[in-house]
Amino acid sequence: MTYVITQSCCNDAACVDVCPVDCIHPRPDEQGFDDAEMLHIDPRACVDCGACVDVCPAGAIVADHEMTARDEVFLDIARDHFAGIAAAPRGRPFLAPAASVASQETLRVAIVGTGPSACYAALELLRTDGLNVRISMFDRLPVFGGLLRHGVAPDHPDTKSVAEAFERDLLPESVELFLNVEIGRHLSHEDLLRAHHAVIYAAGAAHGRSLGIPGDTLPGSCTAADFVGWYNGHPDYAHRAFDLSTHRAVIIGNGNVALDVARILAMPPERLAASDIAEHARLALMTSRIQEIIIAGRRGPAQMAGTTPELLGLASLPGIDVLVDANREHIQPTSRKSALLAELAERRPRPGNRRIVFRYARSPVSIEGTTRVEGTRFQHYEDVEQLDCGLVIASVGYRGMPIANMPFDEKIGAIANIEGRVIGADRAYAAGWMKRGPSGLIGTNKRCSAETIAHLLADFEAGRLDAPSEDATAFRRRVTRRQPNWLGREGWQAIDSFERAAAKGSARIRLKLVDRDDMVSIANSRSAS
Amino acid sequence: MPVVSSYCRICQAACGVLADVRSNRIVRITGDRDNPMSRGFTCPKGRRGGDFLAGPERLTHSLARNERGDLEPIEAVKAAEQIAAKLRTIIARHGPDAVGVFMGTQSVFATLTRPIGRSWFAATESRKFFSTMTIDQSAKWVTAARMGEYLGGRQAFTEADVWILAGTNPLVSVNGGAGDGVLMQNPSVELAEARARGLKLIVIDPRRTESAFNADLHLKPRPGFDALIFAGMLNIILSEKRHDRDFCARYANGLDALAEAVAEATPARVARVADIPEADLLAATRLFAAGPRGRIFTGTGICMGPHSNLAEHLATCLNVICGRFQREGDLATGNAVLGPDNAPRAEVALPNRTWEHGYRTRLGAGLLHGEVPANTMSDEILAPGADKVRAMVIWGGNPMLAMPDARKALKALTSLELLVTIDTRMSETAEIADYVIAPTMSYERADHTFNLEPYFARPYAMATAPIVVPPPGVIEDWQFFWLLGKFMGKQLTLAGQALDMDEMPCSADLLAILAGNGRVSLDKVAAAPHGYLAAPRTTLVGPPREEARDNRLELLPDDVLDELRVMFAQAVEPERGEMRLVVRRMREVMNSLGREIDRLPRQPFNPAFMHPSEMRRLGLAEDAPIRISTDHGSVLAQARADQTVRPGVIAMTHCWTALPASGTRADNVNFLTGDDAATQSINAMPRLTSLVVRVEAHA
Repeated sequence: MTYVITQSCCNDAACVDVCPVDCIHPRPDEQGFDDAEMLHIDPRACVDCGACVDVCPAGAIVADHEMTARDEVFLDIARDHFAGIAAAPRGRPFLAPAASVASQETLRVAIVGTGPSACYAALELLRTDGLNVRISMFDRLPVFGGLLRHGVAPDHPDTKSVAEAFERDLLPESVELFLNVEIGRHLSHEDLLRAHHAVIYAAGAAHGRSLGIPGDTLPGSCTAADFVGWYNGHPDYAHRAFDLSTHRAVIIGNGNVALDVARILAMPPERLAASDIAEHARLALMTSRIQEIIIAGRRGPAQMAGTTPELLGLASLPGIDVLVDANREHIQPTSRKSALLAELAERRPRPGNRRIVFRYARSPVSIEGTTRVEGTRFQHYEDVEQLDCGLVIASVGYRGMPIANMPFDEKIGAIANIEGRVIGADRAYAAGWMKRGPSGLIGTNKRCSAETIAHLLADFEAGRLDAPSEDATAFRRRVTRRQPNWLGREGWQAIDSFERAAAKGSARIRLKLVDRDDMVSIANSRSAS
Repeated sequence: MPVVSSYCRICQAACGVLADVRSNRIVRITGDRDNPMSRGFTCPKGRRGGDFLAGPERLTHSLARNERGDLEPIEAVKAAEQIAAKLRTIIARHGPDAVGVFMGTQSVFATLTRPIGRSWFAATESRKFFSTMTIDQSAKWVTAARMGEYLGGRQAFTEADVWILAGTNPLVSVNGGAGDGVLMQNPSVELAEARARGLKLIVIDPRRTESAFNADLHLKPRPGFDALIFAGMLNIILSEKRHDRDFCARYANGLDALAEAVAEATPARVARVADIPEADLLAATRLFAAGPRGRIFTGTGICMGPHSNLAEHLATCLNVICGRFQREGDLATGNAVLGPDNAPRAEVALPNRTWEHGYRTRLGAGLLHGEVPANTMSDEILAPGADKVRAMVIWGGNPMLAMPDARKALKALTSLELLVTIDTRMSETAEIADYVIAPTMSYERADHTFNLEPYFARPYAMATAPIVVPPPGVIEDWQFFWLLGKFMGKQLTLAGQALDMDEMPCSADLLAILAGNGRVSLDKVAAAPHGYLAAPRTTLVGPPREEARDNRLELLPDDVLDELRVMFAQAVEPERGEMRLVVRRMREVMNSLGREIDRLPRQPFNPAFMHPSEMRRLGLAEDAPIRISTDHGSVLAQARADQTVRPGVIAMTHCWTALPASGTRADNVNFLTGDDAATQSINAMPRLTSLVVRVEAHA
């Protein structure tokens, strides 16, 4: 009689728009939305219509009568969230207003990137009332999806399904894809402006921050971005090799990415086989000898960065021991997260299981070793603690890279901008991590991109965007001159169906191609036939 | 962005909606929270209402089969003229009974279609009227005709202490009352509110349905033994003297005979054969009997199962012996708004066994509510004889999927001299038709809720204008019947008024005529954009008329007693490994409607849900292909694990794929159904659920 939002909530808030009784909170216009770990349905107010299910791109919403044992806790979380708040109906249906424009001119927009923020920007343009729009989307890789393909963990298929929703909604008659095209290399900002009114930079922040401590360049030390890129088959990282013959791996940082990495390292091979993990990574992990994964956080349990839903998901995985190396009495159960951590502090390892151990109040001092990593040293209160290990993965955030001569704000690691308008650049906008730095869930980008689009449309309506001089055909010719191997939608669809076909007969959704040349040749041979 | 209010016309709930219309297309539908009945609720198919209208499959002009056997576009008026000529020829040659109609459920939602379609049909003087009612819940008609009917009104759900839902799942089907609107609009909230004020809900269903999930007590029996369960409940109540003696003495005949007849249904026997805990049976029965207010209501699970007429009769007996009706002097429940306000009386309408006198077909079927049983339709077409049906006009339905014994239905419908169907897309029936008339669809029409009013729980009505312009090539269903009438030289009527047969009337005028005798004026209703909730009426249940003072309900007519004896003889424990197929509903589809909408059903096929232990026993992986067979035929389906289904049971929804399109799937359960020993007398209702089946993996 109520629907329940579960672990894969992406905070996209599409559900909020369609709820007829306004029972999903926090809404994007409410306090607390930006920091919310997930959204919740008020079980007292839900009318059981399932409108939210229709639009949830992450498949996160289930009916109470269909909940699995793992989902049940999310009904409790929802009850807790609304405890003390008067039962809805409260406001009117939210129905986020679609912008509207009066101009009859066709707006042509280039969007750099095909990840969540880029897609949300495109969708926001498409749903603008009265707007004739043609969108070109660029990706430096021959594949679509950005972090949806290369960031989201391979065992989170629901979250990955967001990419399918995007692809479906980015209608081919309005959106053209230019994949395998790098802005700043094949095309310049000015090249894009010749054929578009404006350019939106939404290419994310692909690189991992390093620790900047002695030893962090030793073999066996890497960033989470490297490791995630490797197991997700990112062409830039697919050919890396990680030594998994050690007994212990240490992850520094305890955000959601750290939880992903730990989970992949600890997961039994048969469960990995049902994910869309890159084949080279699956084979390597099958022979992994890692028995223990330490997740070390600088601060205490109360300040842990990983979100409650992800932590709940991790703690309920069969065959993996998830433990907290702390005295239970020292963890104040002030929130569901800390209560769970306190419970994990009481769990004891079971023989034969791999284990993930959270440790807190550990600041990394150095990585030890002569030719390769042999251990790490932490400052733990007054003491320095030595931990033997053969693999250290720094999961302390991503950093953006300067792009196409756009002004770069080193402090936030993003393009210098005011609410998405790039400072001091002609007809340039930013969205997503390139706009605000690497933070937030997938759905956080929706509002971020909408803000950028609102400014872009205001500039368009005010006549501040010069009309492009080059038509689409001429632009396509230009792209071909600079990058003969660019791929369009058909090319991507050829890769996509090849990958899915290759996985037929196995439990996985797709068998990823990981090599640029392979991708291009599959795309060319298939879309030609 | 223009957002306009209207109401959905896919099912009887008629939920209030807000439609976002752009460039004559409905791009989004959300529930209208200001609608006093649906209060924001919609279902998945209702929210896709725009796609039903605008999808690529939508027929935008009528079609006629040419000499080469292909369907080609035809102007609707021309089609009607040709069809009328052909019907006239057939009637002239073979008499009016050679023309049949088949009326489906969807016909009720286009407000003018039923009254004008029926008026045309009456004018033909044929009696071959078939509808989906006689392959659905006509056991309710049979029960009323055999027992008689109490006219003082039933106890309402809104004031009930206890409610039994047997073989019905209103949280999905939005229908939990005997046409009195129980759990129809906004069903989950209505149920939650009732339970919050103290209602105890008992659900009898072999699946832990969405409704069962919210029940206080769930009996999960082996399917097919509902009549036995109800007999057992009657036995418990009567032997423990928990019945309403006053009501029985005043209004019922045959109480002692009933008590004697059901004595065989001991709690121990019922528990053993239906495989339910005896304690639960006793608890449920005593809870129901304690009431003091509340009713048992059955759905398709009972009315489509074996012994359906008997089971429905016995369920009604439970309501009668517990006196679950409004009495003289009680506040009269009633929901008239656009219809006339007739005050109820505390009297009984006598049994009326229409099938025992008057017209009978050459195959021996009598009329029930003026209809020939649908299950005899295929034989009416195929079997030789003077009044053999040679032409069929079909509206609001898809008999190729809905008819029992799908193979025979195909044979029958393809052997007709003339097959005409009104359809919005190329349905399985349209594919084989000689003429396909393309009609307007819901949001393209003006409509009001006159036809649906009797089903609403409160005195509610809504009127809507068209909110999008229909494709130029379509006509309203009623206009087609008017054209047929005109070209056949017949005078049609509506609400007692003769229609102008020279110049086509306009819909708005006809809608006004239909609502002309209402308690509330149509203008007032039309002025309420979110629907009109009339003040509850204040009339009291009146005393019986003098001539009806001695009328009694017949609790145990002879034929019911005979059926009871047969049922007892067949009430035996299962053989080892027995598998029974039951039909279930899904929110995403309404009978045969909704499958075709991209990504509306959760999966593009009709899953065969079964308990994980059965999947293991049969060695089946998730979605593995299986063959399900009865003596009538077999279907190819895909097995899906479902904890909610009782072991020994397969649950599938009815309709779906008629023929193996891809070579791997033919999952319309009507390949499994047809006449057998379980077919009922009177309404010829075959067993459409609780089918004993064989299941095997399909390579």
